[in-house]
Amino acid sequence: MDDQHHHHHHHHNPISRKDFLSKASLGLGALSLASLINPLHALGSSFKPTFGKGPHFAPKAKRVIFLNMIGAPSQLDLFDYKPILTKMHGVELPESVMGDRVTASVIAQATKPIVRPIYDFKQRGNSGMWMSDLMPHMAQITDDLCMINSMYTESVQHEPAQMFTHTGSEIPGRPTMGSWVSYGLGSANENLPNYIALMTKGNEGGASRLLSSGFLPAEYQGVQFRSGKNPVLFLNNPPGVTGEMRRDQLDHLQKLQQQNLNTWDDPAIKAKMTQYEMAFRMQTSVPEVMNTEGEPDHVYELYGADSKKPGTFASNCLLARRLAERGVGFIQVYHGGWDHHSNLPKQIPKRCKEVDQASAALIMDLKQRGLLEDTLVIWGGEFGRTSFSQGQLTKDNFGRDHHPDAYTMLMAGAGVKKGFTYGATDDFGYHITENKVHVHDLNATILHLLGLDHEKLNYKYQGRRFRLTDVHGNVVKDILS
Amino acid sequence: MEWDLFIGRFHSLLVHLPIGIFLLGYFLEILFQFGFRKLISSRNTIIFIYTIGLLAGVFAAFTGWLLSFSEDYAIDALNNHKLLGIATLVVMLFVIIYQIKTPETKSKLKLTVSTLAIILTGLTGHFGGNLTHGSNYLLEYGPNSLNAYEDINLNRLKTITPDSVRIYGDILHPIIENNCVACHNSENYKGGLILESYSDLFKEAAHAVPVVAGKPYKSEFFSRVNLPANDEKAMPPRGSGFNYTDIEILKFWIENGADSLATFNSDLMSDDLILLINRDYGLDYKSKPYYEKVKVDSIDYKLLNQLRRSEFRVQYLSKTNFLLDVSFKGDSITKEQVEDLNRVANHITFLNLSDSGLSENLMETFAEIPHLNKVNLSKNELNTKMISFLKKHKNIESVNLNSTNLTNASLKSLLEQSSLKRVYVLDTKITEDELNTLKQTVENTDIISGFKFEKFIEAKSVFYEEKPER
Repeated sequence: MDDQHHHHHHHHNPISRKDFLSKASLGLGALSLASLINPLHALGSSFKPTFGKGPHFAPKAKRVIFLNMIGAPSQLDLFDYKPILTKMHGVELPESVMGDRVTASVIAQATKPIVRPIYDFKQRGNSGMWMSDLMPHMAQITDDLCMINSMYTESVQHEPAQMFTHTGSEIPGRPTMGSWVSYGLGSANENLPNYIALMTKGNEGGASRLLSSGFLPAEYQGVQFRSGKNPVLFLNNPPGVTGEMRRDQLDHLQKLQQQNLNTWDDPAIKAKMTQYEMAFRMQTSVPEVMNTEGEPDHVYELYGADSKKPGTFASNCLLARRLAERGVGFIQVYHGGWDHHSNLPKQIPKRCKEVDQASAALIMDLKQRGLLEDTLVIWGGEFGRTSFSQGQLTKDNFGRDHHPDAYTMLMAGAGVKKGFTYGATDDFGYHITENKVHVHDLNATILHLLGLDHEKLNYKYQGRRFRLTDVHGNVVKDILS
Repeated sequence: MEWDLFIGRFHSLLVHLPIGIFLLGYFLEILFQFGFRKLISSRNTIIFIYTIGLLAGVFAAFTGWLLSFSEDYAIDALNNHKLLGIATLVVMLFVIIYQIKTPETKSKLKLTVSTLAIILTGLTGHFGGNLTHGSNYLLEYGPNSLNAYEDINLNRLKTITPDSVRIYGDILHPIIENNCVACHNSENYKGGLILESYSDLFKEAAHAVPVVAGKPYKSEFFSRVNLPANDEKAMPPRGSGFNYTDIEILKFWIENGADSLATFNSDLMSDDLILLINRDYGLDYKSKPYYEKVKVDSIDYKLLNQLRRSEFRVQYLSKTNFLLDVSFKGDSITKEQVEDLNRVANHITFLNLSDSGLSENLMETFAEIPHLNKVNLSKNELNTKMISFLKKHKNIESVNLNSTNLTNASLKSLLEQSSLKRVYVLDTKITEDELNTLKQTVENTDIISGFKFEKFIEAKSVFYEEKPER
């Protein structure tokens, strides 16, 4: 559809050896039948790519920034306000509330005392959205947020649940969402990868397995940008090699590869050529985007003092905005340390301090720059946490266990309603009572906002077509603006 | 004054008298038959009661006969009621004569004949009730299995896309079934009107045609459901009838041709109607964004390529939407590049010329871009010429003027444009005070400028507060 897309087309066109064999295996019968009907079309349309780049319908969002809270923050302490928990603080959670699905760690526990949210909740903004005092900055921008309190997922363990939110499957091996999006839409910046991950230094949360392109071509894999001198590993020239020498070397290499390409017509060669060129351009584009020294003071003030320290979540949020400005399509910003099985009262305020201001600042910075019009920001973890204490509930200490049956995600920006709270849970925040949103539904909705039909965006691998949403998922139309 | 109808209307009041009296007599006869003879003392009591009932019945029948001259009732249903009523009276007369003339040994037979009379009374009453109240009146609030008519299936409306909701089949038909068909069916066609099927809506009834496609105010059906509830001609005469939303839907449907397969079209619907349908039926007919309403053909590939070679990034909005999203990738835009842009002006809907070194002079060389919807002119030294360019475009919704030379006067002039929904004015020549004043006066356009967090007092955890108590 445009020039950036051209270098992606080679996977389908010209035909690869494997494609040719699979089509030819239909037999010469099919070929001769086609040529009988119209001899000019003997090798007709069947070799055309089944899917070209670009949105299926006009998109609302051109890019996504996923503020990915690894470890699962407690929705009951931050977003899903349940006054009953305060009233019944310390009381045993009624058996009738729990229902059928009970995890091993829950069974192992002798008592299940209810725990209240440790900070007060208030209604905020014009919309009256509830939010905890733990999030004083996010609380100021609720009129730009869409809060989904009725998320649920499959797995009760971190790794499979994270894999599930990223790929729609608990088992590693499928492409992650950023890869699907890059595969579907192509890139809007020829100098940077389209799928970039930033991780908090020392509290990474994310991992390379969450950036995998699975069975999609390797160029759709997520690239981690690190803080410090070497944002992208092995990108810089080794000592003694100048930029000119590198260019010279690449030009010769391209000539050789072009010869091979002319002989074999192998798409893998073309892919390698574009990757080498991209890497060369990244030698200048990456330092440019990662260097925030030119940002004025009021920007640092907005994102908070942390934003001047490379590797912090706040600094990564600022980088995420810079990447978004340059047209990067899918940006994951990971922050770990939310897995509060114990010591929640001491730990959760620390995490909130690290992310609250920067998350809100990113959304409002995008907004004031006009970027929120076509950028979708998502905030959340892989599941929720229980309304009862894990381990002993003491005067000032408790923990909360994993809870996949109800949790909260936030969205902001392109195409989603503002100041809108969607879905509801029971009085104990334990089960969803209204408008359930499965991870597949959320993923289908994200693709929808990007102009992609989750049922049409697929890739044939090992004999079947795969989708991000497997065979599930409904677009949550109620949250679309 | 119409004496016949005046007295006739008392029919529905008077009929209950003979029914009650007959039932009393029948009750006594049963007691008499089954061992309470002493309580009743004599069969004459029963005969006497039946006789009074018969007289009351004759009077009620007379009023009913007067009422039957009104044209409110369908002839078939009326005849059934009339004949049954007469039959009841005749049988009751026979009951009385039989009770007097026949010896007491045949008391069982007497009771059998009376039972027949009572059944006839009940049937007559039921048909009479159907005439006035409609045939679904009795069971309307009963369990659904007893209720013959379908409700609007809200669940179905939720599962299908709003674009496939049929106005008649999914919404109006169930409403008509529930509110009208009881009295306007092929057996009981009050006012000569039948509303059982779609085609009935267009058949002339006693006074007028119920629905005239395209003309709600010539459609009798629309007029009647619109009348105030206390008007004699208001329809339906009982029950909640058509609410405001239903009336607006009916009007929309008739105005747009009253087709049985018609669906809602957000382009034609008023904002009020969209809100009402969303509130009452949960259907979402948000008006589509401008760029989804306009249809243009795909563009000559050579023109696109030329634009791409000339430092523009160009994309169709989607595989089926051939409007263009164009942004400038270079450092400084030239006159030739603007000319390249002008060649595809009819296709551009999103235009991003941020930080393109665009000058006021060059701004004047732009062709009109009829479908321009979002434009980003930020980071350019532009002011008045930019405003006159923008004001030529009547479909603009979003304008990014961050880091331009925009002045307060220019912005004010731009804000006169009614299509404008969002304007970004971070870092311009406008002062904060001027912006605040503007934000207070402008209603329909979001003026977005620099964001700052408000100061707040840091909250403490509840556990922290509990500590002093220990």
